[in-house]
Amino acid sequence: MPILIAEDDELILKTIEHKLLKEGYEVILTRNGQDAINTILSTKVDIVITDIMMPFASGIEILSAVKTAGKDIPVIMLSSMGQEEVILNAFDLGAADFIVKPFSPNELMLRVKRIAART
Amino acid sequence: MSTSLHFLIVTFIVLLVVIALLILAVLLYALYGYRYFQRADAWSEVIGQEVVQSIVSGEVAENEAIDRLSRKPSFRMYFLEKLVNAEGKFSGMASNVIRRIFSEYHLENEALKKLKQKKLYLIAGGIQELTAMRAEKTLPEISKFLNHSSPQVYQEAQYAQVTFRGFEGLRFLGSAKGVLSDWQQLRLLNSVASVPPDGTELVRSWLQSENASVVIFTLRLIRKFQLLTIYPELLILLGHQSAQVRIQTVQTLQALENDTTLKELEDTFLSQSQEVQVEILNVLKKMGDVRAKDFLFQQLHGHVAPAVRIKAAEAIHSLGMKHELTQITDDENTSEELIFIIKHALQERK
Repeated sequence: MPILIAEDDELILKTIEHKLLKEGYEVILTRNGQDAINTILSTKVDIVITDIMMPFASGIEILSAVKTAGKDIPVIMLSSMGQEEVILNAFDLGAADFIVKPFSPNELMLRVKRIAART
Repeated sequence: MSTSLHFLIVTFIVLLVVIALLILAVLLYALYGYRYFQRADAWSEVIGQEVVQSIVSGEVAENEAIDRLSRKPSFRMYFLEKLVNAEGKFSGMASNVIRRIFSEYHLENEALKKLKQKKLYLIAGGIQELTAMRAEKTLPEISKFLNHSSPQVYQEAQYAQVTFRGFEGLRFLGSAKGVLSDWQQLRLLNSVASVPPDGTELVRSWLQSENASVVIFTLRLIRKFQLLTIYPELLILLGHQSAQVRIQTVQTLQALENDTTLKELEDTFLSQSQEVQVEILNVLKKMGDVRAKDFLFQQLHGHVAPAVRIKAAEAIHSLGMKHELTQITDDENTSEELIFIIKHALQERK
């Protein structure tokens, strides 16, 4: 099950990557929003984990691109404290879940597993 | 002629040497910067691997490179900075593991070195690092800065106390001389999870502080934890010399409201400055107690300050008495000013 991570913070990106690999998932890494959109549109991706604040295209734009392309891919948003309006907007657009930073990678794994079980 | 030519040549040569030295200095500086960034990149990579591996495995990962590098003071400072930064990105077990790395490599020594520096930002930064890494054993060192002359420093020391010890950490309030900013008060309030039953005596003593910001913070603490038994002491604070303290007291009385609160607020009203009177009317509006009706109409008709009269009209409206207010505006004997005040208040309510 390929999971795409879109995150511009190298430490967070690598931590999520290794956690997912340990759980047996296939991982695709992207470090900016535009790369993430291009990859989602051209590659098989089952779940997307994306930061909201990203260079070139935001997490919201990634989510919109997924929905516009008619792809039924669950998107988990990573947001910072104080981004409540953005989170609500993301839910309106169809985000599957969100996690507020600073976050627990273990909790993220639980949510990924729950979504993966439904997919 | 030959002397001046000789002088010119010597000057030219000196200038050339100076320029050459300057170029050399710039090149050396650039080379140093380049090597520093190169080294920092390599170090960052090693530290990142250590953090990721430790988070994934749930325990501090063995890392020979870190063991070797951590003998270098410059690396240890960099390591500390990176760990603190990483800790801010994670919560739960991941955050605990990062703190364990910190303590495994005794990086508290690096943070403690900063406390001995003269530059204020370094001292504050050192305290922040020790707090973020929950290095509780360093608390006695941090406590020495509680009455430091710089707010930047003493506020970090205060925050450390409360982060480590919760309510007990607030004991510094008894001797706090510096002002607690609103931001600092919010930070401290957020870090206190509960007030122990025997803590109310301490809270009472802080209300008597000569530092108005300590009294204001204590009032906010009382509101947060609904410390009802302290209600009688609040009434004394209505006579405090600081208007800000009296405003906060009015808000706290409302938060702990009982059957006598309304009368106490009405009784103190005339002895208060206008800003406190406005706050009392704001509170009466929130309380929505119809027993305040006569008092409010009295202020609407008789007070000299339009701002207070507008607040009185708003409070009357919040009691569901819009009809009574409209009757006043429709009365041909009503002054233009009063009509304007009521209309303004009603407009505010729309």
